[in-house]
Amino acid sequence: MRSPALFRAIARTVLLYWCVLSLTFALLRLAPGDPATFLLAPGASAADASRLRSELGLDRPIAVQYARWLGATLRGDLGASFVERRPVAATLADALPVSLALGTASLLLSFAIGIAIGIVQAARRGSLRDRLLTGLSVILAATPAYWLGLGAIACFTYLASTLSMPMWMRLPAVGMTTPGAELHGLAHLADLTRHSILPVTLLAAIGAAGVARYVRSSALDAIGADWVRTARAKGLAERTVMRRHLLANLRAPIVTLFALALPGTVAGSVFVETIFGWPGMGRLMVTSIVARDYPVVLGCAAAYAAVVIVANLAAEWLLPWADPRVAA
Amino acid sequence: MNDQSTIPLARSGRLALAALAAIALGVVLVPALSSRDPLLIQDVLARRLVPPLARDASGAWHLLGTDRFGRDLFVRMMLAGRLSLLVGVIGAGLSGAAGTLMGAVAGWWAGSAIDRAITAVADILLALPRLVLLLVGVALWPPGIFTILVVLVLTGWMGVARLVRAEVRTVRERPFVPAAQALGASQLRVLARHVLPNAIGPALVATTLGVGNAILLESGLSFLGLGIQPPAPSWGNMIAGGRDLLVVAPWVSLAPGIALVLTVLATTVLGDAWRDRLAGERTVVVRT
Repeated sequence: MRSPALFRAIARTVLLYWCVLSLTFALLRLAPGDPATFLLAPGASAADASRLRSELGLDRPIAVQYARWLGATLRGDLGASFVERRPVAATLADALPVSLALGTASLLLSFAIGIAIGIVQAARRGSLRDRLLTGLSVILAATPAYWLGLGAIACFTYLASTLSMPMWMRLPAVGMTTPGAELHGLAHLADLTRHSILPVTLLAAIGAAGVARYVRSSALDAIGADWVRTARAKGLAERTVMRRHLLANLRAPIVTLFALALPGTVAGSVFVETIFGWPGMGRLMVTSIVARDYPVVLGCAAAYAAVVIVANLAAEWLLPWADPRVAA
Repeated sequence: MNDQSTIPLARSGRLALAALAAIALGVVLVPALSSRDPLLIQDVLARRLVPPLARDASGAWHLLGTDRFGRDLFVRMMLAGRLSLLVGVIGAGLSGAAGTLMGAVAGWWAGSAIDRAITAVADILLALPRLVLLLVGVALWPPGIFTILVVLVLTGWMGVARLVRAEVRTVRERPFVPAAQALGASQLRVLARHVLPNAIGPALVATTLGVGNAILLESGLSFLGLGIQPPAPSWGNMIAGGRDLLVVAPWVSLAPGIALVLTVLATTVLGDAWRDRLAGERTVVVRT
């Protein structure tokens, strides 16, 4: 991408992010009640409330309030959590890596599996295998992640111990690591991996179902194209046609899908983190909503928006690589 | 209008329609006809956690068993279905209507200030994952059906608006539009009576697919305890109610989950079949 285009894309991204941040401010002001009660810990005294009001400048014109709030947000000052009494930015810094790791691992897996399945389906359109896989992906898309997660927990913990299955089949259902165990190095990594199997597989399976459906229809469009007939006519093996020609033409739709799939991963991680007790952004957001910890809720929303917007920008930046016709 | 279609809905679509009709009938009739109160808690010890197809201590037979308070799960599940279907259909329907309105206005006056404003707002809302917007919404407003519906509509109109905008821009170029204008029809009349009926197909399909999505989102919020509040049953909060009973009474979570999956599956299959029929119609139109 040439630099003016990149510059324009970045400028648009910054503008978009500013709008999203303003939206969270507007939502807080539109909500019924005094914003001070939202931003003040429950049980705070009337004196606290009036001090916060003057601190926030709630007695001033709305434009001044907005400017101050925006300034603080841009400096990274997202306020302080009521519950933990520490800066929201620090709380987010703890939770974000957990969600990013979970999201990245499951997203990579779901794309690897989903692309393979989608191409296998498209190669034999209408076959029994194609119809079975389509049915499976439609059912998975209709299944809520939390229900599937509960089922997985029941299978791999309770059921596995009732049927006295071998120890390695009883996967831990809660948390990222074994609590209290002081593990280091490889042992720590192995422990983390065992804890990751259920949540990552769950997110990857649901994601792969969506990716497979999308890749299947994109591949079917491409298989009907003239250049596929040409490649076959010149005597290339079907395998080479699929690997070299088809995959190259699927790069652009897949990059686009990556940006589209990210919000879905975020949604999935909210439920999966809640069920499996992972201390990530999704669980943080839900617990802080229940605790009415508004600064943390809004901080999470801002962080989620940043991740999604950056992913969109990355996809836009990668698109000319995936499909050189776009750059021309 | 191309309603007089000769292409039938695929068999899967007709099957899904029949399933949805059966579910709708069930959720209306079962709680109305049953003598059991799905909310009332009585004689917990004699009735709680009866397995499916079994009788409780008082001799009453339960198709799907009972929950921890001894309430019949089948009747409760059907009552929950009322709320879930209602939220799904009204939530998706209103989002579809709002999206159609926004998209029609933006597409008809494409390039104008109002078009740019609508497109910009849609872009901003699409930059946030829908679930995050929903969570912020239910965090700030008191929980309940009304909040869920408002938030579903506010976060769900953008997809349909984009579709309708693109369709309206195409249909606007067709020859019957200047013909209607030459006959003296006003802008709004041409848009509402001539353009929109020819542009609304994809929006209806997207709205159908949106019903399943709205049901999933509502049940998710209710599962997290942020949606429909107990004792009112929703499939989501029923699944949450069975969460710590997975070992002793897995049917408490299993039954509402299956109902939820079947309903969402039926709307998805119906939407897909309808979209395929629409695509088939369009290729036929192009070929002739």
